[in-house]
Amino acid sequence: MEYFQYKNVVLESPNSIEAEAYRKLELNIALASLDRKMQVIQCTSATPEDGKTTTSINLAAVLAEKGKKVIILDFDLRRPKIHRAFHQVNDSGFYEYITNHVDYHDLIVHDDSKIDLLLSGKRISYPHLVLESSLTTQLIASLRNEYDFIIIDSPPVLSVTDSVIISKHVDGVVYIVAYNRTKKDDAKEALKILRQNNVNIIGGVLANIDFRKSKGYHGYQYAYSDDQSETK
Amino acid sequence: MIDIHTHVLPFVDDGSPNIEASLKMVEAASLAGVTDLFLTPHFMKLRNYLSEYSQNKIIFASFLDEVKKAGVPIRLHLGNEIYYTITTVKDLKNQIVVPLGDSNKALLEFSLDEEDEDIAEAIHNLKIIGYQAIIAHPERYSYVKYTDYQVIRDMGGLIQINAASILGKYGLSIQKMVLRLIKEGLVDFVASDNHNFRSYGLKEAYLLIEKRFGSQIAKSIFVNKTILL
Repeated sequence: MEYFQYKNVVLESPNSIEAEAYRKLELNIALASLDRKMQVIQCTSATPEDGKTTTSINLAAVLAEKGKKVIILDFDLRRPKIHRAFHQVNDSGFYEYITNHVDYHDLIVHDDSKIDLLLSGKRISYPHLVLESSLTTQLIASLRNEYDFIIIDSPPVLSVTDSVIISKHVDGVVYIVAYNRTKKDDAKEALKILRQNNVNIIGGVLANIDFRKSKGYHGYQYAYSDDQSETK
Repeated sequence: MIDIHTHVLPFVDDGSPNIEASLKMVEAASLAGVTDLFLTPHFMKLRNYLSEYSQNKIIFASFLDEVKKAGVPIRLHLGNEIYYTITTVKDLKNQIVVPLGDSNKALLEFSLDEEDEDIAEAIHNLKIIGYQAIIAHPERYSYVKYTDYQVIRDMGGLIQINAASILGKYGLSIQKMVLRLIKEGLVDFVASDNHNFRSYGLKEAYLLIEKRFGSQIAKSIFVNKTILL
């Protein structure tokens, strides 16, 4: 049982420094896309509560703000949170697609923010097997034809294997490290695992920075690094 | 007092088997000082308690007549004790189950020994469709930790404990815990969860809490009028 709150600064305070930091993230991803199309983007981190969901929802909001058609897939199937961030009921979603073969179009939530969501629905018993299945591959392949961007929220790398499995479906991974929270060894270990699996890491996000305390950083919520230097 | 959780409605669950038993339960409650009694039949697919609101309200209406005839001075309200599942939101929307009386507060129960549904998630899902969840007797759920009570509150949920827990009927450790919860202001309602007319511990529990914490605290959880608003 957990209580958590999310702030979508891009939607709630679009003129803030924090929102601006997410716009920079989007720009950096666009630059990374020059060589290789970045349409399906996964957000992950080493440990829980590092800022994956916050990054997913804000990145999606920046893309939607630019008029792109965006969907977020909540693939953190063990601790789904996207519905809480968007104040939506989570009583149907990916589970129904996998188990009852419901047309996924009927499961997609069209949020007022213009961001579409595929929530987790009922709890799935073996998420890693489901995420590896051809049904998941087919879903993402179909969504590629319908959306400009697909953002995938995923579990922490060190907790379960799900994130590495999800990474096989995506074009690039945004790796999030929380300032003053993620342990250095954990951050390194998770990065090692991702690299061993040949995951295309497009960049690192340093989350949880309070710029009032940390002069020199240009973001409250996070600073962006394109070479993961913080975690080396 | 206000008793928000009883199985007085006859024929529909493991509570009252017939109208006579229901009348005795209502008389016992009235004698104990209850002015408002909520009839909250189980809706629990797991145990095959499937009586829907459309049926419950018919039984409720005829039972109201019986209570009137018997001249028991008490106000009755209909609700449900809903065993939370993934379909609860739809069941509420379709009026298969209902909140308590005229309120927007829905009484939810969960598995006693296995966390097959997340209480925080249930509170969230109900909130989105305009209902406030009251968690029925969380002290009886083995997996609910002490810190979870604050999480229930932070999520916007309310907490109902059983009178029997205060009286030590579920053991000393549960009794100690609910007394601590009351002391720390983490209890919103005490109810009887009454299944038959023989034992009705609400008054006894009230007196114990009044003696220990004073009448102001006792009233705030035994006569919590927010349920009638």
